[in-house]
Amino acid sequence: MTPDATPTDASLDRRVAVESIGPGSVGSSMRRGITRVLRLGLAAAVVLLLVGGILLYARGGPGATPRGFGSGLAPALAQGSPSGFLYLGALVLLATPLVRVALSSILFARGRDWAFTVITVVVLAILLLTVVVGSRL
Amino acid sequence: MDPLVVWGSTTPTLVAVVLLLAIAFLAGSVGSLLGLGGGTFIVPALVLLFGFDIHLAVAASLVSVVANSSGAAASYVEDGTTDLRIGMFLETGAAAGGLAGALVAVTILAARSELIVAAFVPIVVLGAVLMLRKRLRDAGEPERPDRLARRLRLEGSYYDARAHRTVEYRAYRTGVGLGLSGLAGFASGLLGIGGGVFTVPALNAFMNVPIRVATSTSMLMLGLTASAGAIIYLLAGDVVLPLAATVVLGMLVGSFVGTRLKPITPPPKLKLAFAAVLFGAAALMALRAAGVLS
Repeated sequence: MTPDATPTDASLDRRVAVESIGPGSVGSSMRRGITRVLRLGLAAAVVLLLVGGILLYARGGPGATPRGFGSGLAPALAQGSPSGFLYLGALVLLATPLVRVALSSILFARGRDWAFTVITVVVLAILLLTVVVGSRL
Repeated sequence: MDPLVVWGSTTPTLVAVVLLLAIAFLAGSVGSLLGLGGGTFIVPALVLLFGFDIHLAVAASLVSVVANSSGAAASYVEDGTTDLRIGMFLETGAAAGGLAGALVAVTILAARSELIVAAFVPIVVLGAVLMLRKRLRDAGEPERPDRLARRLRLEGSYYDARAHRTVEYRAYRTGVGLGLSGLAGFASGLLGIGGGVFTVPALNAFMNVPIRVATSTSMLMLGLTASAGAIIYLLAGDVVLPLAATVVLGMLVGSFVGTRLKPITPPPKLKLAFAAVLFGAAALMALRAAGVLS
Protein backbone atom coordinates (compact mmCIF):
# COMPACT_ATOMS: atom_id res chain seq x y z
CA MET A 1 0.00 0.00 0.00
CA THR A 2 1.35 3.40 -0.96
CA PRO A 3 1.53 6.17 1.64
CA ASP A 4 -0.92 8.33 -0.32
CA ALA A 5 -3.70 5.90 0.57
CA THR A 6 -3.95 7.20 4.12
CA PRO A 7 -7.17 9.08 4.89
CA THR A 8 -5.41 12.37 5.66
CA ASP A 9 -3.69 12.42 2.27
CA ALA A 10 -6.84 11.35 0.50
CA SER A 11 -8.81 14.27 1.88
CA LEU A 12 -5.97 16.62 0.97
CA ASP A 13 -5.93 15.22 -2.59
CA ARG A 14 -9.67 15.70 -2.75
CA ARG A 15 -9.34 19.36 -1.81
CA VAL A 16 -6.56 19.91 -4.32
CA ALA A 17 -8.61 18.19 -7.01
CA VAL A 18 -11.58 20.49 -6.47
CA GLU A 19 -9.43 23.59 -6.50
CA SER A 20 -7.41 22.56 -9.55
CA ILE A 21 -10.40 22.63 -11.88
CA GLY A 22 -9.37 25.13 -14.48
CA PRO A 23 -11.25 26.86 -17.29
CA GLY A 24 -13.40 24.47 -19.32
CA SER A 25 -14.45 22.52 -16.31
CA VAL A 26 -17.40 23.15 -14.07
CA GLY A 27 -17.35 24.74 -10.68
CA SER A 28 -17.28 23.03 -7.35
CA SER A 29 -20.90 24.07 -6.62
CA MET A 30 -22.08 21.74 -9.37
CA ARG A 31 -19.89 18.93 -8.07
CA ARG A 32 -21.31 19.40 -4.58
CA GLY A 33 -24.89 19.60 -5.84
CA ILE A 34 -24.60 16.47 -7.98
CA THR A 35 -22.91 14.51 -5.20
CA ARG A 36 -25.68 15.51 -2.82
CA VAL A 37 -28.50 14.61 -5.23
CA LEU A 38 -26.96 11.21 -5.95
CA ARG A 39 -26.43 10.39 -2.26
CA LEU A 40 -29.90 11.58 -1.19
CA GLY A 41 -31.69 9.73 -3.99
CA LEU A 42 -29.73 6.59 -3.26
CA ALA A 43 -30.37 6.76 0.49
CA ALA A 44 -34.11 7.27 0.02
CA ALA A 45 -34.29 4.39 -2.49
CA VAL A 46 -32.31 2.04 -0.27
CA VAL A 47 -34.54 2.76 2.75
CA LEU A 48 -37.67 2.05 0.67
CA LEU A 49 -36.16 -1.14 -0.80
CA LEU A 50 -35.12 -2.36 2.65
CA VAL A 51 -38.59 -1.67 4.07
CA GLY A 52 -40.09 -3.56 1.13
CA GLY A 53 -37.66 -6.44 1.58
CA ILE A 54 -38.34 -6.74 5.31
CA LEU A 55 -42.11 -6.59 4.72
CA LEU A 56 -41.72 -9.28 2.06
CA TYR A 57 -40.13 -11.62 4.58
CA ALA A 58 -42.57 -10.69 7.35
CA ARG A 59 -45.64 -11.19 5.19
CA GLY A 60 -44.33 -14.03 3.04
CA GLY A 61 -45.78 -12.62 -0.17
CA PRO A 62 -45.38 -9.62 -2.49
CA GLY A 63 -48.89 -8.16 -1.94
CA ALA A 64 -50.52 -5.75 -4.37
CA THR A 65 -48.08 -4.76 -7.12
CA PRO A 66 -48.41 -1.28 -8.64
CA ARG A 67 -48.25 -1.16 -12.43
CA GLY A 68 -47.25 1.46 -14.94
CA PHE A 69 -46.38 4.94 -13.84
CA GLY A 70 -47.34 4.81 -10.19
CA SER A 71 -50.98 3.81 -10.69
CA GLY A 72 -52.11 1.79 -7.72
CA LEU A 73 -49.07 2.96 -5.80
CA ALA A 74 -50.86 4.88 -3.04
CA PRO A 75 -53.31 2.05 -2.18
CA ALA A 76 -50.44 -0.48 -2.22
CA LEU A 77 -48.44 1.67 0.19
CA ALA A 78 -51.48 2.24 2.40
CA GLN A 79 -51.98 -1.52 2.65
CA GLY A 80 -48.33 -1.93 3.57
CA SER A 81 -47.80 -4.03 0.44
CA PRO A 82 -44.13 -5.13 0.14
CA SER A 83 -44.23 -4.64 -3.64
CA GLY A 84 -45.57 -1.12 -3.17
CA PHE A 85 -42.45 -0.12 -1.24
CA LEU A 86 -40.14 -1.97 -3.63
CA TYR A 87 -41.81 -0.27 -6.60
CA LEU A 88 -41.54 3.18 -5.06
CA GLY A 89 -37.89 2.48 -4.16
CA ALA A 90 -37.19 1.54 -7.78
CA LEU A 91 -38.95 4.70 -9.03
CA VAL A 92 -36.92 6.93 -6.69
CA LEU A 93 -33.72 5.17 -7.75
CA LEU A 94 -34.48 5.60 -11.46
CA ALA A 95 -35.53 9.24 -11.01
CA THR A 96 -32.23 10.18 -9.35
CA PRO A 97 -30.19 10.56 -12.59
CA LEU A 98 -33.07 12.61 -14.02
CA VAL A 99 -33.00 15.01 -11.08
CA ARG A 100 -29.21 15.19 -11.41
CA VAL A 101 -29.51 16.29 -15.06
CA ALA A 102 -32.25 18.83 -14.19
CA LEU A 103 -30.03 20.31 -11.48
CA SER A 104 -27.11 20.52 -13.92
CA SER A 105 -29.14 22.42 -16.50
CA ILE A 106 -30.25 24.91 -13.87
CA LEU A 107 -26.65 25.42 -12.72
CA PHE A 108 -25.32 25.68 -16.30
CA ALA A 109 -28.02 28.28 -17.06
CA ARG A 110 -27.14 30.18 -13.91
CA GLY A 111 -23.49 30.17 -15.02
CA ARG A 112 -24.60 31.44 -18.46
CA ASP A 113 -23.08 28.39 -20.14
CA TRP A 114 -25.76 28.22 -22.84
CA ALA A 115 -24.25 25.40 -24.88
CA PHE A 116 -24.34 23.10 -21.89
CA THR A 117 -27.73 24.35 -20.79
CA VAL A 118 -29.05 23.20 -24.17
CA ILE A 119 -27.15 19.88 -23.98
CA THR A 120 -28.56 19.02 -20.55
CA VAL A 121 -32.08 20.09 -21.57
CA VAL A 122 -31.82 17.76 -24.59
CA VAL A 123 -30.80 14.89 -22.28
CA LEU A 124 -33.70 15.73 -19.98
CA ALA A 125 -36.11 15.78 -22.95
CA ILE A 126 -34.91 12.31 -24.05
CA LEU A 127 -35.50 10.99 -20.53
CA LEU A 128 -38.99 12.50 -20.35
CA LEU A 129 -39.72 11.00 -23.78
CA THR A 130 -38.61 7.63 -22.33
CA VAL A 131 -41.12 7.99 -19.50
CA VAL A 132 -43.91 8.90 -21.95
CA VAL A 133 -43.06 6.07 -24.37
CA GLY A 134 -42.68 3.59 -21.51
CA SER A 135 -46.05 4.43 -19.98
CA ARG A 136 -47.79 3.87 -23.35
CA LEU A 137 -46.39 0.39 -23.99
CA MET B 1 -37.03 -24.62 -10.28
CA ASP B 2 -38.84 -21.75 -11.91
CA PRO B 3 -36.98 -18.61 -10.86
CA LEU B 4 -40.15 -16.55 -11.10
CA VAL B 5 -41.66 -18.67 -8.36
CA VAL B 6 -38.54 -18.30 -6.25
CA TRP B 7 -38.28 -14.53 -6.55
CA GLY B 8 -41.66 -13.36 -7.68
CA SER B 9 -44.49 -14.88 -5.76
CA THR B 10 -42.92 -16.77 -2.86
CA THR B 11 -40.09 -15.97 -0.49
CA PRO B 12 -36.66 -16.87 -1.93
CA THR B 13 -34.44 -19.22 0.06
CA LEU B 14 -31.86 -17.61 2.32
CA VAL B 15 -29.02 -19.38 0.49
CA ALA B 16 -30.16 -17.92 -2.83
CA VAL B 17 -30.37 -14.42 -1.36
CA VAL B 18 -26.90 -14.62 0.22
CA LEU B 19 -25.35 -16.04 -2.96
CA LEU B 20 -26.94 -13.32 -5.08
CA LEU B 21 -25.87 -10.59 -2.64
CA ALA B 22 -22.27 -11.88 -2.81
CA ILE B 23 -22.26 -11.97 -6.61
CA ALA B 24 -23.82 -8.51 -6.81
CA PHE B 25 -21.22 -7.23 -4.35
CA LEU B 26 -18.36 -8.57 -6.50
CA ALA B 27 -19.99 -7.27 -9.69
CA GLY B 28 -20.49 -3.83 -8.11
CA SER B 29 -16.89 -3.53 -6.90
CA VAL B 30 -15.27 -4.63 -10.17
CA GLY B 31 -17.85 -2.64 -12.14
CA SER B 32 -17.14 0.63 -10.33
CA LEU B 33 -13.39 0.08 -10.36
CA LEU B 34 -13.40 -0.31 -14.15
CA GLY B 35 -16.21 2.10 -15.04
CA LEU B 36 -18.21 -0.78 -16.52
CA GLY B 37 -21.01 -0.97 -14.02
CA GLY B 38 -21.88 -4.30 -12.46
CA GLY B 39 -24.44 -5.27 -15.10
CA THR B 40 -21.84 -6.87 -17.34
CA PHE B 41 -21.40 -9.57 -14.68
CA ILE B 42 -24.88 -9.68 -13.15
CA VAL B 43 -26.63 -10.49 -16.43
CA PRO B 44 -24.53 -13.64 -17.12
CA ALA B 45 -24.82 -14.63 -13.43
CA LEU B 46 -28.62 -14.33 -13.38
CA VAL B 47 -28.96 -16.22 -16.65
CA LEU B 48 -26.33 -18.94 -16.09
CA LEU B 49 -26.45 -19.50 -12.32
CA PHE B 50 -30.03 -18.66 -11.44
CA GLY B 51 -31.72 -19.67 -14.68
CA PHE B 52 -33.59 -16.41 -15.28
CA ASP B 53 -34.90 -15.51 -18.69
CA ILE B 54 -32.58 -12.86 -20.16
CA HIS B 55 -35.38 -10.26 -20.28
CA LEU B 56 -35.86 -10.47 -16.52
CA ALA B 57 -32.09 -10.55 -15.96
CA VAL B 58 -31.63 -7.43 -18.11
CA ALA B 59 -34.46 -5.59 -16.34
CA ALA B 60 -33.15 -6.32 -12.83
CA SER B 61 -29.61 -5.55 -13.91
CA LEU B 62 -30.51 -2.12 -15.32
CA VAL B 63 -32.18 -1.09 -12.06
CA SER B 64 -29.14 -2.21 -10.07
CA VAL B 65 -26.73 -0.46 -12.43
CA VAL B 66 -28.42 2.84 -11.57
CA ALA B 67 -27.65 2.20 -7.87
CA ASN B 68 -24.12 1.12 -8.73
CA SER B 69 -23.66 4.34 -10.71
CA SER B 70 -25.17 6.69 -8.13
CA GLY B 71 -23.04 5.18 -5.36
CA ALA B 72 -19.78 5.26 -7.30
CA ALA B 73 -20.39 8.52 -9.16
CA ALA B 74 -21.12 10.41 -5.94
CA SER B 75 -17.54 9.64 -4.85
CA TYR B 76 -15.99 10.19 -8.27
CA VAL B 77 -17.75 13.52 -8.81
CA GLU B 78 -16.64 14.63 -5.37
CA ASP B 79 -12.98 13.61 -5.82
CA GLY B 80 -12.78 15.53 -9.11
CA THR B 81 -12.02 12.61 -11.44
CA THR B 82 -15.39 12.84 -13.24
CA ASP B 83 -15.42 15.18 -16.23
CA LEU B 84 -18.95 16.56 -16.01
CA ARG B 85 -18.80 18.46 -19.30
CA ILE B 86 -17.57 15.58 -21.44
CA GLY B 87 -19.91 13.20 -19.61
CA MET B 88 -23.02 15.30 -20.09
CA PHE B 89 -22.17 15.96 -23.73
CA LEU B 90 -21.91 12.21 -24.42
CA GLU B 91 -25.09 11.52 -22.42
CA THR B 92 -27.18 12.98 -25.26
CA GLY B 93 -26.17 9.99 -27.40
CA ALA B 94 -26.20 7.47 -24.58
CA ALA B 95 -29.70 8.35 -23.33
CA ALA B 96 -31.18 8.17 -26.84
CA GLY B 97 -29.46 4.82 -27.40
CA GLY B 98 -30.72 3.53 -24.05
CA LEU B 99 -34.29 4.33 -24.97
CA ALA B 100 -33.91 2.67 -28.39
CA GLY B 101 -32.22 -0.47 -27.04
CA ALA B 102 -34.83 -1.09 -24.36
CA LEU B 103 -37.66 -0.48 -26.83
CA VAL B 104 -36.22 -3.02 -29.27
CA ALA B 105 -35.83 -5.55 -26.43
CA VAL B 106 -39.38 -5.25 -25.06
CA THR B 107 -41.12 -5.07 -28.44
CA ILE B 108 -39.34 -6.66 -31.45
CA LEU B 109 -37.23 -9.08 -29.42
CA ALA B 110 -39.80 -9.70 -26.65
CA ALA B 111 -40.09 -13.38 -27.54
CA ARG B 112 -36.55 -13.84 -28.86
CA SER B 113 -34.46 -14.35 -25.74
CA GLU B 114 -31.88 -16.47 -27.56
CA LEU B 115 -31.07 -13.58 -29.92
CA ILE B 116 -30.32 -11.30 -26.95
CA VAL B 117 -28.08 -13.96 -25.35
CA ALA B 118 -26.27 -14.33 -28.67
CA ALA B 119 -25.91 -10.55 -29.12
CA PHE B 120 -24.23 -10.25 -25.71
CA VAL B 121 -21.09 -12.01 -26.95
CA PRO B 122 -19.98 -9.95 -29.98
CA ILE B 123 -20.98 -6.66 -28.32
CA VAL B 124 -18.94 -7.29 -25.18
CA VAL B 125 -15.98 -8.64 -27.17
CA LEU B 126 -16.08 -5.51 -29.35
CA GLY B 127 -15.84 -3.36 -26.22
CA ALA B 128 -12.77 -5.29 -25.04
CA VAL B 129 -11.09 -5.00 -28.46
CA LEU B 130 -11.76 -1.25 -28.66
CA MET B 131 -10.27 -0.82 -25.21
CA LEU B 132 -7.01 -2.51 -26.24
CA ARG B 133 -6.65 -0.26 -29.26
CA LYS B 134 -4.89 2.57 -27.42
CA ARG B 135 -2.29 0.24 -25.96
CA LEU B 136 -1.14 -0.69 -29.47
CA ARG B 137 -0.47 2.88 -30.55
CA ASP B 138 0.16 4.89 -27.44
CA ALA B 139 2.31 7.40 -29.32
CA GLY B 140 0.54 10.59 -28.28
CA GLU B 141 -1.94 12.72 -30.18
CA PRO B 142 -0.74 14.57 -33.26
CA GLU B 143 -4.18 15.88 -34.21
CA ARG B 144 -5.83 19.01 -32.94
CA PRO B 145 -9.11 18.66 -31.04
CA ASP B 146 -11.99 19.06 -33.46
CA ARG B 147 -14.14 22.18 -33.68
CA LEU B 148 -16.90 20.88 -31.45
CA ALA B 149 -14.45 19.91 -28.70
CA ARG B 150 -12.94 23.40 -28.80
CA ARG B 151 -16.34 25.08 -28.97
CA LEU B 152 -17.62 23.12 -25.95
CA ARG B 153 -14.26 23.36 -24.15
CA LEU B 154 -14.05 19.61 -23.63
CA GLU B 155 -10.88 19.64 -21.59
CA GLY B 156 -9.95 19.49 -17.97
CA SER B 157 -7.51 18.34 -15.35
CA TYR B 158 -7.48 16.05 -12.37
CA TYR B 159 -5.16 15.41 -9.49
CA ASP B 160 -3.45 12.04 -9.73
CA ALA B 161 -3.13 10.94 -6.10
CA ARG B 162 -0.70 8.13 -6.95
CA ALA B 163 1.73 10.24 -8.98
CA HIS B 164 1.17 13.39 -6.86
CA ARG B 165 0.63 15.63 -9.85
CA THR B 166 -2.11 17.35 -11.78
CA VAL B 167 -2.79 15.80 -15.17
CA GLU B 168 -4.28 17.95 -17.94
CA TYR B 169 -6.10 16.53 -20.93
CA ARG B 170 -8.15 17.55 -23.94
CA ALA B 171 -10.85 15.57 -25.73
CA TYR B 172 -10.37 14.55 -29.37
CA ARG B 173 -12.72 12.92 -31.90
CA THR B 174 -16.00 14.02 -30.31
CA GLY B 175 -17.99 12.58 -33.24
CA VAL B 176 -16.62 9.07 -32.68
CA GLY B 177 -17.17 9.49 -28.95
CA LEU B 178 -20.79 10.52 -29.43
CA GLY B 179 -21.43 7.65 -31.85
CA LEU B 180 -19.93 5.09 -29.50
CA SER B 181 -21.98 6.55 -26.64
CA GLY B 182 -25.13 6.00 -28.69
CA LEU B 183 -24.02 2.41 -29.26
CA ALA B 184 -23.28 2.13 -25.54
CA GLY B 185 -26.82 3.24 -24.71
CA PHE B 186 -28.31 0.82 -27.22
CA ALA B 187 -26.25 -2.09 -25.87
CA SER B 188 -27.23 -1.07 -22.36
CA GLY B 189 -30.96 -1.06 -23.04
CA LEU B 190 -30.74 -4.33 -24.94
CA LEU B 191 -28.35 -6.25 -22.69
CA GLY B 192 -28.77 -4.57 -19.30
CA ILE B 193 -25.06 -3.85 -18.99
CA GLY B 194 -25.12 -0.08 -18.49
CA GLY B 195 -22.96 0.83 -21.46
CA GLY B 196 -19.55 1.17 -19.79
CA VAL B 197 -18.39 -1.47 -22.21
CA PHE B 198 -18.33 1.24 -24.91
CA THR B 199 -18.18 4.52 -23.00
CA VAL B 200 -14.83 3.70 -21.37
CA PRO B 201 -13.14 2.81 -24.70
CA ALA B 202 -14.85 5.83 -26.32
CA LEU B 203 -13.48 8.19 -23.69
CA ASN B 204 -10.06 6.62 -23.26
CA ALA B 205 -9.04 4.94 -26.50
CA PHE B 206 -10.74 7.39 -28.89
CA MET B 207 -11.23 10.72 -27.14
CA ASN B 208 -7.87 10.50 -25.35
CA VAL B 209 -9.23 11.10 -21.85
CA PRO B 210 -7.01 9.54 -19.14
CA ILE B 211 -8.24 6.13 -17.99
CA ARG B 212 -8.98 7.29 -14.45
CA VAL B 213 -11.18 10.14 -15.69
CA ALA B 214 -12.69 7.86 -18.35
CA THR B 215 -13.80 5.24 -15.81
CA SER B 216 -15.19 7.86 -13.38
CA THR B 217 -17.04 9.72 -16.14
CA SER B 218 -18.42 6.44 -17.44
CA MET B 219 -19.76 5.60 -13.97
CA LEU B 220 -21.74 8.86 -13.94
CA MET B 221 -23.03 8.38 -17.49
CA LEU B 222 -24.18 4.82 -17.12
CA GLY B 223 -26.60 5.63 -14.31
CA LEU B 224 -28.48 7.83 -16.73
CA THR B 225 -28.17 5.38 -19.61
CA ALA B 226 -29.34 2.47 -17.47
CA SER B 227 -32.16 4.58 -16.05
CA ALA B 228 -33.46 5.34 -19.57
CA GLY B 229 -33.64 1.60 -20.23
CA ALA B 230 -34.84 0.59 -16.78
CA ILE B 231 -37.84 2.96 -16.92
CA ILE B 232 -39.07 1.11 -20.03
CA TYR B 233 -38.70 -2.29 -18.32
CA LEU B 234 -40.26 -1.12 -15.05
CA LEU B 235 -43.30 0.36 -16.79
CA ALA B 236 -43.58 -2.79 -18.94
CA GLY B 237 -43.77 -4.83 -15.73
CA ASP B 238 -40.56 -6.79 -16.47
CA VAL B 239 -38.72 -5.85 -13.26
CA VAL B 240 -38.94 -8.65 -10.66
CA LEU B 241 -38.87 -6.29 -7.70
CA PRO B 242 -37.48 -8.53 -4.90
CA LEU B 243 -34.77 -9.72 -7.27
CA ALA B 244 -33.86 -6.19 -8.34
CA ALA B 245 -33.81 -4.99 -4.70
CA THR B 246 -31.40 -7.78 -3.70
CA VAL B 247 -29.04 -7.01 -6.59
CA VAL B 248 -29.25 -3.27 -5.88
CA LEU B 249 -28.17 -3.72 -2.24
CA GLY B 250 -25.26 -6.05 -3.07
CA MET B 251 -24.05 -3.86 -5.89
CA LEU B 252 -24.28 -0.68 -3.87
CA VAL B 253 -22.00 -2.06 -1.15
CA GLY B 254 -19.70 -3.25 -3.93
CA SER B 255 -19.53 0.25 -5.40
CA PHE B 256 -18.14 1.61 -2.11
CA VAL B 257 -15.31 -0.94 -2.29
CA GLY B 258 -14.61 -0.31 -5.98
CA THR B 259 -14.32 3.46 -5.50
CA ARG B 260 -11.82 2.92 -2.63
CA LEU B 261 -9.69 0.62 -4.78
CA LYS B 262 -9.50 2.86 -7.84
CA PRO B 263 -7.14 5.61 -6.62
CA ILE B 264 -4.55 2.97 -5.65
CA THR B 265 -4.79 0.87 -8.80
CA PRO B 266 -2.16 1.63 -11.50
CA PRO B 267 -3.80 2.79 -14.77
CA PRO B 268 -2.25 0.10 -17.06
CA LYS B 269 -3.73 -2.56 -14.83
CA LEU B 270 -7.13 -0.88 -15.09
CA LYS B 271 -7.03 -1.16 -18.88
CA LEU B 272 -5.88 -4.77 -18.96
CA ALA B 273 -8.38 -5.79 -16.29
CA PHE B 274 -11.11 -4.06 -18.29
CA ALA B 275 -10.40 -6.12 -21.39
CA ALA B 276 -9.84 -9.34 -19.42
CA VAL B 277 -13.14 -9.27 -17.49
CA LEU B 278 -15.06 -8.46 -20.67
CA PHE B 279 -13.54 -11.45 -22.49
CA GLY B 280 -14.42 -13.60 -19.47
CA ALA B 281 -18.06 -12.47 -19.34
CA ALA B 282 -18.39 -12.89 -23.12
CA ALA B 283 -16.87 -16.39 -22.98
CA LEU B 284 -19.44 -17.53 -20.40
CA MET B 285 -22.34 -16.19 -22.44
CA ALA B 286 -20.85 -17.73 -25.61
CA LEU B 287 -20.94 -21.15 -23.93
CA ARG B 288 -24.57 -20.56 -23.10
CA ALA B 289 -25.43 -19.40 -26.61
CA ALA B 290 -23.65 -22.46 -28.05
CA GLY B 291 -25.72 -24.68 -25.80
CA VAL B 292 -22.79 -25.94 -23.69
CA LEU B 293 -24.21 -24.32 -20.55
CA SER B 294 -27.92 -24.60 -20.02
